[in-house]
Amino acid sequence: MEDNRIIDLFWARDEEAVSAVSAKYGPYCRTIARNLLGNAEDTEECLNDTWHQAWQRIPPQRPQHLKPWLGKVVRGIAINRWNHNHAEKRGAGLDLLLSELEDCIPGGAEPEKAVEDAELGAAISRWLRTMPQEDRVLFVRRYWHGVALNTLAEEAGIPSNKLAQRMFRLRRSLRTALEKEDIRI
Amino acid sequence: MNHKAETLYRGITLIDDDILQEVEEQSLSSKARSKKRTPIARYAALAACLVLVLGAALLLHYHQPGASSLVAENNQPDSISCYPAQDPKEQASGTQTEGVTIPNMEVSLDANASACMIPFFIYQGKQFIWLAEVEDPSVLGDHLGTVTGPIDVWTPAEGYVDFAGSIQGEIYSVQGSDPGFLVCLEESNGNLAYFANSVGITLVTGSDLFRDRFPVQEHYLSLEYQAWDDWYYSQGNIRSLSPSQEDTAQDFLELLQGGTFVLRTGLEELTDLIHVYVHLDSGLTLHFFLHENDTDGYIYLDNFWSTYLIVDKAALEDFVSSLDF
Repeated sequence: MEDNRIIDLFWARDEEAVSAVSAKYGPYCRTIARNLLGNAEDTEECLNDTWHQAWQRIPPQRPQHLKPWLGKVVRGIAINRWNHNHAEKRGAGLDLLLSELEDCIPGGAEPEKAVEDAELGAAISRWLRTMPQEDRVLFVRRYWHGVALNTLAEEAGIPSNKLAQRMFRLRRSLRTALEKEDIRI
Repeated sequence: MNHKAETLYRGITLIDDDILQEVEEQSLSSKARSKKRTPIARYAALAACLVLVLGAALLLHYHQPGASSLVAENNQPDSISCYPAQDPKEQASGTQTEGVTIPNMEVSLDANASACMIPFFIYQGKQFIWLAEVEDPSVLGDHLGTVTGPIDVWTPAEGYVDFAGSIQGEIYSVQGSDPGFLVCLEESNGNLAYFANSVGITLVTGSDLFRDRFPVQEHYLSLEYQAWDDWYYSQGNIRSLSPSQEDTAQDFLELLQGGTFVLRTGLEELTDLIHVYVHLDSGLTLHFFLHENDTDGYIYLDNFWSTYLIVDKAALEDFVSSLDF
């Protein structure tokens, strides 16, 4: 079913919208949730929450690009679930991912005002546009889709140890870019 | 956890859509390029017009007692045969289970279907799905037929048509294995892979798989193991058992056969332990993921759908602790 048709169903408050969106994008969303949460039960709950949020947010929203919109919803729910579970040491995928992201945190004094998520997203997008396409793909696959490093190495045809070094350089590059823009976190 | 890293995560979540779209397209094409490295991706292009529709794990979950969701209410599958195991906690206490029946995947001709691009073919009316690469061609037995791929005569209304599939090649039996369960397929470029009829079968105890279908004790050759992080980061530090540790290998094989199959979904959080590779004299390597929780041990066979073996936790820990790292 076309995305516009699915969104129309949401706007018409037709419950078939949930069936349609889960049939079309269930595997995509499940992969992201599974990569981040690493737990089947949490993954399924994250998916159910995703469909629930879609139902609540459309309308009033009308996503221009439904697939990445759903992926962003999944990531938002996943981090909340990870926080909820963290005291019990759950969610190994995100544990690793967040620890890697610490390399990207700009240095300097504590900010007077926390950077807005949207502002940070725009800065990261600007930095990504300056990078070679292959690096863009690697960064987004690892830190947006949450793909495990060994899987990413397979996808890219790069030995995993070399990929690890390359990802480290990418993280440091992002850190430098954020510092140049004087973005404090 | 560093809240700054979490802030970065939220910022990354808001990367522009056009970048995400570009990555989506590029990562798909890069998968197609890495044919030698990713057997599943190797077949993606061919599978585009004849696919197995993904959903086994989800559907299994929905059939579990007490499981409910908005999606389940609206999307109940009618054609999937699935008899979920009892609650894992009950199984751990030794009560009987109906076993786990791995459902047949829905076969679709819809190129736009959300699909699981797993290489498969139909033989003797059964779905044979990619399991592992063949390391030793000498295991090939009798020639069983030719898979012609998504052939023109495929008619969905007729159901399964032998020798149709998402790949093409020659099918051979595997020496020492039941061709109703395990066969080899050789592509025209010489690539060889095992395919197993893992769907539609009912598994209750480990013996159902590791004695009756993969006779591991009869065909055991060697055992290797790898630390979890080592596997995760593809470090390649795979260790072998010493000759004096053969009893340890036998302990593991007995654990496999004595376990009880449960569904992956619905399990409590599992702690990752190690990876184990059991090499059989048929050239097949079985890759196992070992886990545990507070009460039980769990073993997952790679590429074997949504099932876990629940095993005695103390015995599993004894096995792991007997290994040198």
